[in-house]
Amino acid sequence: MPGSELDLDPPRDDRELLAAHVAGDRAAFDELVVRHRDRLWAVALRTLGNPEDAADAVQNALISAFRSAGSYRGDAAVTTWLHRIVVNACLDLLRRKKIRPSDPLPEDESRHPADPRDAIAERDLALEVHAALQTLPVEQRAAIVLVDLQGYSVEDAAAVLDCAVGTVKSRCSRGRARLLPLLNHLRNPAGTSSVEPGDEPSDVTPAGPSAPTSDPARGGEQR
Amino acid sequence: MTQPTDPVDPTEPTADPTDPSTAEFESSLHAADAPELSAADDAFLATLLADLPPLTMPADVAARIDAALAAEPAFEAADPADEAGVEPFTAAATVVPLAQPKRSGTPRLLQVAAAVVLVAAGGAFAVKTLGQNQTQLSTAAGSEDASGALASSGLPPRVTNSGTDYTAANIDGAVLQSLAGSRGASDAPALPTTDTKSSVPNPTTYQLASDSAVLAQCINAVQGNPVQPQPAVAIDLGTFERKPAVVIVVQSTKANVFSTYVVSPDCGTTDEPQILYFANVTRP
Repeated sequence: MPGSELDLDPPRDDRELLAAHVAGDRAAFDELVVRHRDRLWAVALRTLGNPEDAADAVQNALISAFRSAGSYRGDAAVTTWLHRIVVNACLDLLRRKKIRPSDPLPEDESRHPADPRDAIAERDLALEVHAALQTLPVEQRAAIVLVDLQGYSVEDAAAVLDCAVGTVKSRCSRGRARLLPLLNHLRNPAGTSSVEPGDEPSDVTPAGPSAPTSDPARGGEQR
Repeated sequence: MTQPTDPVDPTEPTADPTDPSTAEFESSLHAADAPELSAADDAFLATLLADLPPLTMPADVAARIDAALAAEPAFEAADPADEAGVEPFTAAATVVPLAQPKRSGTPRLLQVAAAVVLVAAGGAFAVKTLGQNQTQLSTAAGSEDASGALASSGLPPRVTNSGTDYTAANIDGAVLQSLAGSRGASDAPALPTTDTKSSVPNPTTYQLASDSAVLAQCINAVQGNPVQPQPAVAIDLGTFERKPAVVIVVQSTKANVFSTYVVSPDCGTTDEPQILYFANVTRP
């Protein structure tokens, strides 16, 4: 129906929204936030491991983005720019906590074993992965969160983290090597194996029929 | 569970993951140096991590952020002349040579507290957005020595040169007094009086007092060089327990909490400034 199509305003893309915000359109930044806040929240929560800290980091980051939108030059996608601000807000928060050791990050919210037959297995699984992530050095954790959990390409993650692509790959590899012994039992509930980096447990079958044959993140593909 | 060891590269930052020098070193590593997992292990982890359920921002957090953004003044277009030199993701600061007219009013701040001048408005600071006038001087309240404005922080912190000798015992009070007494740009606290000043040395010799780039680097460095540093709301040149020092007050992520950093005067010229004192103060 041509008539109805003509009545629709095409949705503004991120750059248009940011430009509109800089031009004084108050609703534009709100729309940008609504569009991306869940992913920003996921990055912050999984990087910081604490909802309260994640809320602080995202709020601070979005206010910074709101104020500094005029400095955005379009060198990176708006979403990359936003994620970069959020990740740095997270790292900044961790550094502040480092200065104040009396207020440490929680490192282990749950160690419930996952049971695929359990109705809450999915939740337990997420908690267990979450707890394992918190054991990683923060730089590795941020890379893993962006690439493996959020599905960013290595190139985009490098832009967010402001480092080389090779550095992201290195951090992801090291992070995965650390995670494997902590999570390996999840593919074998009865197993007790603990795989050291460098071991080659090639006889272990990946769990689930949907396991990919390669990690697209390593090839820079958007997952 | 056995914590894995890294057989490839013992320099992996395990003890201090936020150590900038370690991160810098890591950035030079090639991916080939990283431990390799088997394809099966890689696939297992990739699937496990990618299949985690998506997270949604809780409604209360979303509402809180919406409210915080709604409280922000509308973005105002920048003067192109001011914006021209600002690079994305960087902070710039301008310290203006002083010779500003002296304040003609009666000082309202306690002597010990007077050095840190904050430009605040009620519970929220009177924010000048980035685009407004990033290098604008804020001289309404008067300054004996220096004043300037940060660019990308969005806030125009006053850079004062009080020469005050701060101590661990008085600096928190000084900040709190300033916070309590400053409610707006037109009601900025008075300047410190001369008898709070230290006899050593002359803060105007601090490099960051005359080099805006050094000052900007310092403000970023004390916060760990984030892409978007928290805005500095006050900077004062003086001494700390008789040692040359710069006081930097930074708004924290919480509205009424301010982080006070006291750093050595070489801040901004070294990768890791010496932080002589740090505290968070909460404005009542």
